[in-house]
Amino acid sequence: MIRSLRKRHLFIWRLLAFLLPVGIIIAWLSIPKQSTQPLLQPETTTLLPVVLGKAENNSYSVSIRSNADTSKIQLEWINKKTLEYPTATIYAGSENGNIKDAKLIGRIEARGNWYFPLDSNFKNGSGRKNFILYDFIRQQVIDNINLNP
Amino acid sequence: MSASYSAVGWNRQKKHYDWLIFAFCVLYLSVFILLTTIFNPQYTFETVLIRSTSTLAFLLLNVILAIGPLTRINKRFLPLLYNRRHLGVTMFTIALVHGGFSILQFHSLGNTNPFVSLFTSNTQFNSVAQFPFQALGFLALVILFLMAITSHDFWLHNLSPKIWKTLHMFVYVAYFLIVMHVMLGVVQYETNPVFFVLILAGAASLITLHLIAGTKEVKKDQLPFDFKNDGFFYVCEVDEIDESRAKIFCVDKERIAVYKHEGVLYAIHNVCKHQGGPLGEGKILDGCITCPWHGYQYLPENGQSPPPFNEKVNTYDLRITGTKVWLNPTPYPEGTERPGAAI
Repeated sequence: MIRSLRKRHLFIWRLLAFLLPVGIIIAWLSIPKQSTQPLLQPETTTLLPVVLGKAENNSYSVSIRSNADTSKIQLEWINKKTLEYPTATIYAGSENGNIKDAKLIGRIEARGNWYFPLDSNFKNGSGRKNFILYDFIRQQVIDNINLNP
Repeated sequence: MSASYSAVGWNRQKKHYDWLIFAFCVLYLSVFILLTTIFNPQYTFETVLIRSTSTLAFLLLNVILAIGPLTRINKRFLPLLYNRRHLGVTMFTIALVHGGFSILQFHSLGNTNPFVSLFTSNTQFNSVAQFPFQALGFLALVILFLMAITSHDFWLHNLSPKIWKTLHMFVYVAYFLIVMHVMLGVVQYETNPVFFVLILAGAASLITLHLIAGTKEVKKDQLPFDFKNDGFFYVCEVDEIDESRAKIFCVDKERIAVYKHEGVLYAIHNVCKHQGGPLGEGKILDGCITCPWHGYQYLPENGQSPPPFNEKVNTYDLRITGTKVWLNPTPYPEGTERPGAAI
């Protein structure tokens, strides 16, 4: 290697010794924190105070919430880890467990917390409270979430 | 070293290394796919292929970039340098599989041309977290492609070593683009810190190795030679140079290799005409100074490659007084016959 080439190599690596850590650290600091997705739930972005039922695993936490007089019911979905299905939707489970008979609640994304309005069928003592997490691209059930005691 | 071009410069040793590289790649991909099948069965085969090839290509790129400084720090790594070109082409092939499947999976299902989609589906250049990281990977792949197709002595000779070397130094740009491709891509979505740690460890290792090797080379270049006599500088004692080996001195601007061969000392320019290898770190084989990088050979008395080859390097005058070796750093034209200094 000629002397000018040796110098050029050393210069480039001195430059990279600055640029690489700066780039890596900036990218690391910019990783988005878990946040709400207001565009996907325009009707009920306010958290209701009373928890009627809850189910939880390592990846997400699912709660049915209401106000004091249960005139409003809400589904709270919190992704604790990044969801590995970018095209996931939540359905209210059907009696027969068939996705075609289930009722669409809304779509969620890989990160964030979601709040969806529910109808009065989800009040206490009003039957099953199960949800289906469904990948509509692959057309497969990701998970069944049962909130019944 | 060959007078004609062949598609792939294979010899027994290179074949042995290529089989090792192939076996390692197959083993790595198999283990990756197996572990993913066990721990993440929901992943599609395309996703597993994209991830396995990306991590393998990045691992190989880190190894490739470490070989240069490792050989300057310790000569035991020279066999790796001899085979680096094949490792580089292998790495590009694996990166191409990663890039190809990524474009197929993410950009080929719409009406837009996949390459247009690659650059127009995300234009959030003002956001770090949402930055169009795929474009960075694509640009790096273009650089690696240009390097892979010119990784041949045909292009080295036709482009000239200077242009060829400049082109191949763009690998550092490609490396930076790939690091940012990973950091602004998968690391933004994958909560597992292993990606971040591996990227950081790889970058830190490469920076450290290159700075250590580069600083060591600068120190070599700056060694003073004060005892000047009639244009000659005192460089060493005769017995400091082993038979059929050399010592390297940077007396004026460039490095000069002083070889001992059958009772005579010869001095030639240290830089091989092929890829700039350090001739003084080689040895004399069959009466020829042999470059440690790719085996190019030169006759010690005139710096010419033996017929039918036509590479030539500068030669220099030497003088021996008692046991002291004196070197005149003024070069003779490339290929000039010099008698050397008899011991």
